[in-house]
Amino acid sequence: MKKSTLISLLLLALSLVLPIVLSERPSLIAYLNLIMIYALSAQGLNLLLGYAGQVSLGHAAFMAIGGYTSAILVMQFGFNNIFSIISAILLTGFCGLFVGFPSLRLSGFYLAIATMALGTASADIIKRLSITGGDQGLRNIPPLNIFSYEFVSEIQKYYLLLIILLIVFILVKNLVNSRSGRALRAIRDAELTAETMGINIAYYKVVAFVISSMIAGLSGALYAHTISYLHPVNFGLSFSIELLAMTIVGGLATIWGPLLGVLFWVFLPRIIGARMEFLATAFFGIMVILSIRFFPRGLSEIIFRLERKLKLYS
Amino acid sequence: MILQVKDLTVRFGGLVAVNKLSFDVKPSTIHGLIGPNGAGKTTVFNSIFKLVPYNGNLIYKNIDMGKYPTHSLVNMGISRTFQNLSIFYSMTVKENILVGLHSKKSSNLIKDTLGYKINSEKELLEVSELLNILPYLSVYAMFLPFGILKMVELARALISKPQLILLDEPGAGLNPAEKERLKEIIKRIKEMGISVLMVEHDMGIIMNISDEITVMNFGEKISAGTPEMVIHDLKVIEAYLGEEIHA
Ligand SMILES: Nc1ncnc2c1ncn2[C@@H]1O[C@H](COP(=O)(O)OP(=O)(O)O)[C@@H](O)[C@H]1O
Ligand SMILES: [Mg+2]
Repeated sequence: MKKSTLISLLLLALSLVLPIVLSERPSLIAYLNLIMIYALSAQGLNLLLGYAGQVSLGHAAFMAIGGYTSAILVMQFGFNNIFSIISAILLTGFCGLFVGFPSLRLSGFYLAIATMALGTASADIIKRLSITGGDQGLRNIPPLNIFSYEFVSEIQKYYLLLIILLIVFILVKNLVNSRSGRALRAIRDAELTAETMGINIAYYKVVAFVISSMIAGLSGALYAHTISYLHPVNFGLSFSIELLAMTIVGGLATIWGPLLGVLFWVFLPRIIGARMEFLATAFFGIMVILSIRFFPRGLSEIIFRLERKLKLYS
Repeated sequence: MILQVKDLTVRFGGLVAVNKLSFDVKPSTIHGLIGPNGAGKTTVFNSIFKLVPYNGNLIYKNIDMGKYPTHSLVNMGISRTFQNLSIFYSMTVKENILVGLHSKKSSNLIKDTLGYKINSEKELLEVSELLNILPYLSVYAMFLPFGILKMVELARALISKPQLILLDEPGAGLNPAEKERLKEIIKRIKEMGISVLMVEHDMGIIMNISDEITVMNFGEKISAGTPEMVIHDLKVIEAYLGEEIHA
């Protein structure tokens, strides 16, 4: 067996036994669950920014749209949970389409501003509607219920989220290594050349936005049923920026980067301690700058170096 | 005719970069397009690929290309290389070359996401052998020297099996040995039945392998014919005064 396969299996085994080891401390498992949900969103952003080279400062809003859609469909319309989540994914994909079209004419800074405006606008709209609970937020969202099996405890949620996370990460990995993924990366590296080589730029740019939004929508829906509470303030601009920062620190255009970035972002303040939490923010800020300036692969750089060492010694 | 350029005119503000240029490229020939720096040669390529607005007609195999977008050209059978190396640096050589096959293979997002693989090994090996880059297929482009990347760019343009290939200074930056090999490769490309329209400053290459040559200066055609004809044309010698011509 190859060493990398062995390590993947070990990591998988570790993630399978982790909640059993931690079973006395459900709050820690709850943290891990949140990490997996954020990692999904970050993966969506990674696909968009890392692989397709387009920025979005509205991803928190996509999460919110996914979360509210699924929660409202279940609570008000009695939807089956699976259909509510699929609807959430489709609706966010549709919103992604709307953001994707302006992205054809805008780039870099202007795209950031445009997506930011859209993000802020959706948070505002959610706050004003009554079906969303307005400024009160949406409470008592029922836990995930799949084929009449309820995911109530943190451990149950953990395993479900782990499976979803693995599936999404594998699908994204397939995509970026496929013909379509190559097209996305070619556009990121040299747009005009990609177009000259036969790639329909407009199509792929919009596709990147749509898929990325759909993943954020899934993440938002899972968030709603895991945390059981939604409030627009949690999905404002600052969370979009944080998502972006997590993605960058984890390492753009790397498959495990989003998970590493989110792990780091969630656990750093806990390691440093509540009283010195501001240090965590400052430290994280420095990490973002270092990643952008010196380590484009962020924390994943560590994995790449380990991988190279393993190859040398195997 | 594989390509007919008719009264091509390109303006950049006040500058007329290409002025009423007309010439034909015959099937399965090497057609040289030469002229001093700034003559408008690259602009002709860019017009064919819709990268600049132009007046006049560009006719490929009796089809006026006016309404075809840039990304549809490879599928129609036209591909190109760039004067300034344009490589996807974060990708491997193999991935770079496969981008050239993008519009010749089909897949959809669902198949791609589920991990279905498209088999392109045959095309890939064929073109990599021709260009001597087989050992580098899995290397990231950013780690490779210029001479090899020039071949990667050529491979990327060839893998789609075009009927017409536009080469913009393929020899620029190559050492004498690499240039010799390039000449052989371009002749092989012609033998494969591909028509070549080539801009090149190295007269040793262009005079040696071209079947026909069009000479441009200040956007206009100043001479045309076989290599022997243009090299003795006084207007050409005058245009190149100060630059060296050696056949
Ligand atoms: N996109 C552009 N915008 C403005 N001027 C351009 C552009 N491309 C080329 N030119 C100008 O057009 C003229 C012809 O350029 P070019 O076609 O690159 O010449 P050549 O390839 O023969 O050296 C030059 O004067 C150049 O500066
Ligand atoms: Mg030029």
